[in-house]
Amino acid sequence: MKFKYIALTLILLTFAFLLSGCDDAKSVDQFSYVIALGLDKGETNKLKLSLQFPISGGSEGGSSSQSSSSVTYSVECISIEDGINQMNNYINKPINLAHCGVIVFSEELAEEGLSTFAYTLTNTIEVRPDTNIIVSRSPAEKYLKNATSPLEEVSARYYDIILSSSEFTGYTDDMTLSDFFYSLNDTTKEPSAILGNVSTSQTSKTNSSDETNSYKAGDTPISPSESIENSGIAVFKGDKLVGELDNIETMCYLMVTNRLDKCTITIPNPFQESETIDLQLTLRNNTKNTVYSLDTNPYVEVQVSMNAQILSMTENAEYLKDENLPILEEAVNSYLEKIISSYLYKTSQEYHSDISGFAKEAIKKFLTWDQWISYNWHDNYQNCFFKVTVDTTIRSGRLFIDA
Amino acid sequence: MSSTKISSIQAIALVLIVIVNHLLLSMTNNITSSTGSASILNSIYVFIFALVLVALIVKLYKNFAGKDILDISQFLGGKILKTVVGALYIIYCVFILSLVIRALAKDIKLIYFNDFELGTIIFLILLTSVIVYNFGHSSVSKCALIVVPIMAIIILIVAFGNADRFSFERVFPLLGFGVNETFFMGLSNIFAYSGIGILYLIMPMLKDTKDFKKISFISIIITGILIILSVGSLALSFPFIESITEISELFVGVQHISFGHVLQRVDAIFVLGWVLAILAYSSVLIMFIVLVFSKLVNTKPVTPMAMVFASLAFIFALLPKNANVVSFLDSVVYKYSSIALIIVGSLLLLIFANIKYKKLNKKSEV
Repeated sequence: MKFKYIALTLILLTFAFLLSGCDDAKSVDQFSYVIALGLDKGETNKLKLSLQFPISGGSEGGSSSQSSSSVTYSVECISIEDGINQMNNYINKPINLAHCGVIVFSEELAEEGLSTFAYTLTNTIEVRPDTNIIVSRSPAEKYLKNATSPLEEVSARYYDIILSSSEFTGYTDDMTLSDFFYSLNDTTKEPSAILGNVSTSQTSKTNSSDETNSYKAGDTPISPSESIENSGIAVFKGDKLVGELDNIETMCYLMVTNRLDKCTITIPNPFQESETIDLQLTLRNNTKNTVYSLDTNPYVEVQVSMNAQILSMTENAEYLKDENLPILEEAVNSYLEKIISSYLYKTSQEYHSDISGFAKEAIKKFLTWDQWISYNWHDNYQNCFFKVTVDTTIRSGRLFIDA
Repeated sequence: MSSTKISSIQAIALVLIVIVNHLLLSMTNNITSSTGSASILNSIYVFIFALVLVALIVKLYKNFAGKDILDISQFLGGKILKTVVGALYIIYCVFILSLVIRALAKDIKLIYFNDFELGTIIFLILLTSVIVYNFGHSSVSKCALIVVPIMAIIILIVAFGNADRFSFERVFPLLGFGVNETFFMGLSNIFAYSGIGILYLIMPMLKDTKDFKKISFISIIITGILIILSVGSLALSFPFIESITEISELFVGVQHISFGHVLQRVDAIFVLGWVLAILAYSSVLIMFIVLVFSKLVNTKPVTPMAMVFASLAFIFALLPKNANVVSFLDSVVYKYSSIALIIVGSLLLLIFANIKYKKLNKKSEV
């Protein structure tokens, strides 16, 4: 009986202390939530940290279609934490990164290496592992300041939406902080990131060829300009940026790594020179990658199987006829084989970076970790030979069988 | 404080709650860091070994139905051995209790309660455990019985929630760091089954001692499945990195799980389950510490004893200076003390007791 009283007193005392602690508890409105974080090389200091905050009710009743619902602050600092501290002092509210949707690095900074930043950000419990990583061809600060859309209020969800477009365009990939961090430490894959840019009339280029897909971020001739664009992939060797892939190479990357949802390509029309055909592609089966000999010149075989749907139609086009279908399929196959081979040799001979993760196949040939490490795949990747086979089946011409 | 008998299912829950808590903290870290890409192979191999071990324990226990390890020690070496074994069990249990609570408090503080003192979190956990203990053995085991299925479901969510990240090539190189590290040194990962220590103490509490065999096998099989799934999920989801995370690997795994746009932050549910698990775990360990102690000093187990041992655990939990010390205690001291006392020591005791039993039986037959 005595114990019950003692226990009851203890419980009451504990609650008394705990509940009185509520007066300094922090509620949502006491934090400044960052929706995007940008890092550039500093002019007067080592780094320039930019933080984008949403303005509550920023777009309500806004008459201008470009009215900003966010604000971006920048500070010169020596480290991320230092920058956040300085910003805390300026904003007078603790900065919280729990809703940060993207982390943008400038190309200049990425070329010097991102290892320290990847470790620091992964070590920050507030930063979600699924935060997207973007390498911007323009300064990160400029990228964040131009992250406006007349169609969508800028918020963490805004970044979710703009980056999910890769699911139906195949122009980039969903690359996260966690993917980047683990790739940095992975012996079977080099890191990569989303390639971004601010599209302006100066950056956009006119493509002389008929292949409309070969653009990198910011190159697309689109109007109105001055908005952000994410297309292509930033290729890393270790933690350093070594190159960029354009849209079509990104599609090849997605095909080889089995990450393609769907994409649209334009190929030369095999029946009418000077004309093109648009096709929507999806993977029929998982791409089969095989690594054969493992001497100093590894031999890699890539077997891609695709389903295609014809999107463009012209008068008298009889693409699905028995005699025409194999010709069209063969045209798609040889086109894809050519661009995939070109992509693979580019990553191997130009960038020396196995972002496709062929090492995952090569590692199967080793029994122990020591044997694998001493083989040094990442250095041997530049000597790889590739054989690409594509097998495409054209399923339909949408509404028209024949036109 | 009532000490009623417990059912088979409650007994299984008592074994599992110990293992689940170690699994949630650092067990997977310890296994993957010692075996690399061969961690799944090693987990299966160790599971088979654990099954053999349990079969042996069950067989050896046939002559000692209704007795716990203290009774067996007394039979083998008199009061002195009983006192030594009892003291070792108490020290071990207080040590792992304080270690697990410290590790969890550190993680919880890091994740959600940055402004809280570590001591406050540890105090609240131990206070709750003492209150649960006060309601009796049955309440402690019922708490464990409620929490174990919740945690099993959470572990299954962690295991399969990351399925889209699975890359089966991560089991290569097949032999990880080598044959020796996978199969000989790797056998030290049997520490993951140190929860079978509960089997050595549980016999006198059982309603029906005939169920001991069933309890032992069911609890070890479930344990094995949970360990293999957790290790497998992490090994297939993430590339092997020499242990760099201070925090629970399962938590790191759960951070990557989201179910569309509806349920994006599953880690909050995980932490809630984790706290429930630690509360059940600490009350179970306190119960066994008090049981062993009361048996050593021939008194009834009473709540003030639980308070004393909870206070001891509180002090020990605050002793490690930093996370590095906690990590060393966890990956080295806990691992090898579990092997020495639970896996090897107690089994040897049981073997020698059986030899003595047979000798005595032969003499009486003559």
